[in-house]
Amino acid sequence: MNISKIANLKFFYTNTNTLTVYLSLFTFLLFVIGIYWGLFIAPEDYLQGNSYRIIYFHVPAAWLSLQTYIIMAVTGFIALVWKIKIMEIASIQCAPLGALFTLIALITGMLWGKPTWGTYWVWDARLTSELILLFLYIGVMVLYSSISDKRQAAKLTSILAIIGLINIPIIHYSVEWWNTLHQGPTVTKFEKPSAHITMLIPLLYMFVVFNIYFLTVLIKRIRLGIYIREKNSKWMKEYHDV
Amino acid sequence: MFDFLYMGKHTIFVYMSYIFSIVVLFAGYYFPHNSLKKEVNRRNDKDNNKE
Repeated sequence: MNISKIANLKFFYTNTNTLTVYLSLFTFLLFVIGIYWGLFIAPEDYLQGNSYRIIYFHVPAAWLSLQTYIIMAVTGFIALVWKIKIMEIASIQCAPLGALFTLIALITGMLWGKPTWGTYWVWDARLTSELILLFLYIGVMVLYSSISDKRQAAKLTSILAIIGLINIPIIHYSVEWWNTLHQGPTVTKFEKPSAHITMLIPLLYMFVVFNIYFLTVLIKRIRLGIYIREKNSKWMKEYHDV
Repeated sequence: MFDFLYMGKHTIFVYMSYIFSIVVLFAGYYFPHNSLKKEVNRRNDKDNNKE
């Protein structure tokens, strides 16, 4: 399929409706399996007991919070340089999704921290930089909604997203650069992950499920963004009149 | 009867995390879904009123 065709707003909007229905059902089914796997099939940890099961939401949400930010910045950069409308929409629509993943990562992290560390929150490098990420997402959303000229708003939010990229390696390497309460890398040590395989597989499965969820909701959000921009265009009126 | 749901002394933390995550993920899905529906219906109502 021609990439320029997908980038066409009309083509994207008119061809993704059925896709989102199937993706939504698929995501729901995968989540049900993942939740059951994480809660009842994965074995209990010898040290942390059952509280470690929180990782099946906490870790994929934290990974997705970083991944979504990178996608937001890259699509913003493409929109800025090549002025591709769908990239502008994709970039801004990543912000609420990223904020959602960051919020889940922070709250589930707090709920994991209390039984594990004995406290909900500490101002260590990992937690603080993740909180800054949430503020960056909120900043992007506030900046976009405060400017009435949406093309100008998209430009400024893209610049903000690109500048904020500096926070991503800080979050990722914070546990290695500073002495933090947060544990070091467990899964990304590919030569020898600390987690047992029976715990690791459901975690990687949930990461895939979170990615499919991200794709589903991003398509839905892009469709909403296209509708808001193009609702007065002839093709949009014709499409919804059918 | 519901013994299999028991997660030891950390039960509350595990279920609160899962429930919170599920609610937020559902809200993240439902909001754009519902907003698009509302926008389309609003425009259709406007068009019908014009006629």
